[in-house]
Amino acid sequence: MYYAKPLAKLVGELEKLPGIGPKSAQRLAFHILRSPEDEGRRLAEAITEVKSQIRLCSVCFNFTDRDTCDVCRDPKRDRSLLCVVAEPRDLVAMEKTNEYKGLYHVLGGVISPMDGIGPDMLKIRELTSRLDKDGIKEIILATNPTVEGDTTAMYLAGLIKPFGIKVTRIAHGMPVGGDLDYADQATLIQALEWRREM
Amino acid sequence: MRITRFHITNFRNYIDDSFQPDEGINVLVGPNGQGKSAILEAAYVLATSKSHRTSRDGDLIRIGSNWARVTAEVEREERGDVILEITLVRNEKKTVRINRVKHEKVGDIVGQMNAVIFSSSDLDMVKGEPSNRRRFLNLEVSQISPQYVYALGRYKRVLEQRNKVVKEARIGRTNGRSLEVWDEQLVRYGSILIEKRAVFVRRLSEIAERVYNQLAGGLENLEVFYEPSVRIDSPKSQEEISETFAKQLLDARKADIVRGTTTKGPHRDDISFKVNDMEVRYYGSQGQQRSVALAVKLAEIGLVEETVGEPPIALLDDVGAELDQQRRAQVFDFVYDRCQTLVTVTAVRELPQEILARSTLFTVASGTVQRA
Repeated sequence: MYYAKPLAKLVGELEKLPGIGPKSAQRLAFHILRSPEDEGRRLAEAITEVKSQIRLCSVCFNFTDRDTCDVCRDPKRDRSLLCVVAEPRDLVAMEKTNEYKGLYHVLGGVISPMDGIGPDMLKIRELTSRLDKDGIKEIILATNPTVEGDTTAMYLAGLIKPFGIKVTRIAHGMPVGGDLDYADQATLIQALEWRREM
Repeated sequence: MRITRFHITNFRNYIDDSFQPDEGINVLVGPNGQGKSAILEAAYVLATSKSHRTSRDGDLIRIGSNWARVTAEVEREERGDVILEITLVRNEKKTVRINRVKHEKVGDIVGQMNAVIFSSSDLDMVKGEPSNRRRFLNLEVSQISPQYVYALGRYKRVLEQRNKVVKEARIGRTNGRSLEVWDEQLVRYGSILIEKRAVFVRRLSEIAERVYNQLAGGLENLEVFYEPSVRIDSPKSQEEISETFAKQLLDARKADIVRGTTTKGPHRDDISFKVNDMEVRYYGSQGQQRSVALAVKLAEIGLVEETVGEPPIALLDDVGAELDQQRRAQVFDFVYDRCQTLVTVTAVRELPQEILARSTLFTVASGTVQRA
């Protein structure tokens, strides 16, 4: 046994985190051990609070600590625009742009039969029930341009069409500031496929 | 196109070695198990990102090492010189560098350098299962079409997902809508494969027929046909292929659900070789099968030359064991003055004297290459 029991327990728990190997776990554990008493307590509290207080927004299924999330409650948001994303972290990415002013819907994943995820396991029924009432004029499908993300977008597009709402897909292709020379071939091919008239 | 410097580390039985091939014919000579074929294999891995001998990258890494690396400096007429590098790490994704710049997608290296390899598995392409011929199609078309590499990767993924949906449908655990979107994706990428394969086989066929005619002394006639699983008379535009594929996929849906797998699509394609209207795979003599395999390989050289504007590097693995004297002479006739060629033999007497006189000789012994 290299560590005293409580320390071994902490190292063991930290090791379970993604991207943390045994070395990093050890470094973090020793850091926590050496830091002032209240700093350690704050970390412990933050972890307990996040587990006990965070739930899914009853409207868009983003993470929130209330019944409805900050975005859904914000009166300045454009309620005719709805952006569909796979995960809460994708919503965060969109929010960081400070450009998008509409609402969101978080699916909680993408369709992937191999991983046992069918359409019924995503928040799709919840999405269609929003379409009836919210006065939405356009749906932006912002799933990743992977096979599964594309398929999920196609599935949703077919589902939304009967509602008579405009459906758009985010563009994919060349990164901004990217050099044609350095773009990988798959990206270039997609950029060609999704080109538009000027 | 030619390799000017070749560096190989922890690959097969090599620890660390480099050598500088000449233009023209380079003969690697040495007893079995010394690492002659490994050099050709390494060159092929640089060209296609895959080995022609194994699908497990781990096999390529020297026993006792955790990684392997192959680097080549390549002179190209059309696209400028380039330095290619591929690094294999045990149980990890391989990484590629083009001109020292790391690329996220391994597929980016495919086709940077073109190589055509002649080996004992060529005969399997003619005689063996359809999967051998699809593998051949995938490797060859990938070398000349980046779009094919992209579509093939996506197609395989969609196929796996669709097969899963079909299996679940068999036990009544899925709705029809979710199958529809996978069908749409399968058709989208599958049609690209069908169209590229059709064009490739048509052009390959033209050249192979000419070459075979020469090999057979004008007495026999070879034709190569693409036999897509999706029945389509003469594939025209991509849209037409998509329409036909979509329709036949829908027709086969019931059967797919019963069998729990996808029965239509490029993953079921085949090629047929006919000599004087006879299917060579079943009715050809051993000699005819060898000649067909050889004609196809030589045609590939012509096809690459046509497509990329300069001849590929020819890699001839153990031609002494694989080809009789006459065919050997024909191969060298074809590549001489055209391709930089790397050829492995166990003894120099396996090669015609006039070829030997114009070759550069290297001896290979326990993982080292030395100019003789």
